[in-house]
Amino acid sequence: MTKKNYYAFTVVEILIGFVVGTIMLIALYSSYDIFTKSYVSIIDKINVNKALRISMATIVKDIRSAGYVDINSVNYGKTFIPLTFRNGGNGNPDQIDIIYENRFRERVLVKYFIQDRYLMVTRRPCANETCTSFSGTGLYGFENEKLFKNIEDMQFEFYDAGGKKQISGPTISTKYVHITLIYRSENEINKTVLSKNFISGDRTNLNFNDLYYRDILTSSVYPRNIVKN
Amino acid sequence: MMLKLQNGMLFQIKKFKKNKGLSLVEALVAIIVVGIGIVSVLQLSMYAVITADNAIVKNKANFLAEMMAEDILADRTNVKSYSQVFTCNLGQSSSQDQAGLVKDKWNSNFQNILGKNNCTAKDIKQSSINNLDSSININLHLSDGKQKKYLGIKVQ
Repeated sequence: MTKKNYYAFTVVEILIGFVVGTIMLIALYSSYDIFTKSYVSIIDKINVNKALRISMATIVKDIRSAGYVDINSVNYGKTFIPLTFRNGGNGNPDQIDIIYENRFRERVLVKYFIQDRYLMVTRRPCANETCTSFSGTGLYGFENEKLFKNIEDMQFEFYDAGGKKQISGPTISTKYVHITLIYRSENEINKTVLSKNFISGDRTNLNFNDLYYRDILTSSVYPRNIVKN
Repeated sequence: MMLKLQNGMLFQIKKFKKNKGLSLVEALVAIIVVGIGIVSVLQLSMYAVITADNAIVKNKANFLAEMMAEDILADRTNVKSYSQVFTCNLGQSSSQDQAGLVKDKWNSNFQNILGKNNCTAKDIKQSSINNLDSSININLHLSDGKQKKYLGIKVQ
């Protein structure tokens, strides 16, 4: 009887194979994990930035259009204040109502406010010239639409021709409006708790101690239709 | 399979192939090569994060430049007062006129939005006014001077 000579892996070779395979799997899983976290982090940051950019541009556009001059009344357009401001004080976000002429004799009231961490917008076509009554939502109106999620703060500051802040809100002499927006990320993407202090309008010590990413954006707008040079 | 005649008997001869596997060194070299691949792909991920951050800074620069332009437009008869170079640790000015207050506001916004600690000597924040035609040049260099934003507007 002959002895057959079978070639196979030895135990040592198999063990080395296991170790090498495990190292490879750990490396692959780690890179996948890093990729996923990095993807979530980038998407969250981009979403915060997108929300800031679009909501700021939308609010700026509406405030820039605020007001109108009534061609049938010499004085009306000059005394009317098309901005209604509700100050949230040091603890809450502000709200603003804006009235402007969408097109000839077609006026709208636009409201921006925060509800359940959403930036909300309401747009009502006015039924009369002073926007005290409304003609339903119509073609371009809507009520309490959610614009963007995870908003932390919205502040409006009004300045007169001398550059002084108008504490009580906008007047006919409002020269420019300063807007501050703060948004938060959907997920906790920071690795460590970063204490970040924001100066947001009259909320001077807006401090957050958690793992969420937050960003702030400010802009100024010169409401051309109520300021006459 | 071959048959061989020996002492009047037939024997079967098997030809064993010499199967060569990977040596440990070869396996380790393969791991290093794959590792280099993984590291380079991870660097790509880091590059994506840096690019997103740069885009965010650029976007902020856009809005800051727009803020400066709008503030100057709101005081267009006094354009020449808005020329200013902002350094990282510029304090508040003592001027209480509109231009002085507005420039103070810009300064505090630069530090609030861009982060005072992230400001370097290469970062430039400047508004320059051409006295001849009142044209405004807004010049923002951010992220250690890597992100540049120029905005030119003509008021009149």
